[in-house]
Amino acid sequence: MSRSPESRLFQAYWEDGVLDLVAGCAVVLIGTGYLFEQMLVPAIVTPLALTAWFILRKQIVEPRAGYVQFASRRRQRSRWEVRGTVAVGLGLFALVLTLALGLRGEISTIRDLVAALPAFLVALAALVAAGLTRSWRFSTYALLLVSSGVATILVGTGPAMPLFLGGAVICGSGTMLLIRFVARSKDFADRDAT
Amino acid sequence: VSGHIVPEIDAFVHESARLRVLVFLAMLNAADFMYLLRQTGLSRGNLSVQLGRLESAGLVDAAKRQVDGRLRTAYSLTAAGLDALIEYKSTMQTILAAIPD
Repeated sequence: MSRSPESRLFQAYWEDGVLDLVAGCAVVLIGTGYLFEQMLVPAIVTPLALTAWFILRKQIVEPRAGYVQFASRRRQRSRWEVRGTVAVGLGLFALVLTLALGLRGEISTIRDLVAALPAFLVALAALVAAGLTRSWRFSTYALLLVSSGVATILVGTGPAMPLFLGGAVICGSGTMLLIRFVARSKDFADRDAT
Repeated sequence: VSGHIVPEIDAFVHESARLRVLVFLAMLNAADFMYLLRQTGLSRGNLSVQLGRLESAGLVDAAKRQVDGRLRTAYSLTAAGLDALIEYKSTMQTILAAIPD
């Protein structure tokens, strides 16, 4: 599928790895929250992660990549996509909550299924991120999270394990992308100076 | 242009480096010098000269804005710049259509 130049510019905007790094750390922290049964952790980590992404982008990426404001049509489209995502996310959260409360004390297989749901929810968020940023590596993250969620159901490890695993991989990928971005920026600055 | 079977190209817009800058700005709302420098692949000197010429011609607007406590020059296409680019596109389409396959 050939993409428009504007679409490729938009995709390039997300290739610095900061989003992956911050999202990966957030997923690991959410996993830690599940491990210690601190169910409020996702509610705290999500706004913190968004703030961290904003700050890191301003401090690390923008001085090297420059500042850009995409056309209003693109921004409007992204806004609608974010709103849709929030609506779907809230709906799924309500579903998980209902399932978790409704199935309390039920057979262990159903409990294991519920245990995998956080990983499935994060996978859904990763899939949405893939669509929003036009960066298909987020689909790979989603696939990994779904796979580790399925492994959770089969092995019965609880909700923390797939989040740790998925988060660590996303974090690692983000770190590598960020290192590559900074190195390329240095190359570009050196070339430009000569 | 009347009297010409093959329309005349706007030489100012047609210049490779300027056209590149105009096309990038047409896709975006605004961008700073560093972003344009990285995306267009032009040298710092060439980009600076072309932006100056485009601004003097009224095709590009350079607005100094306070963003996150820093003064930033954001370049954007003016209405005249967009018109010139649309006109250029139409001329080129006519010319390209005249070339036999």
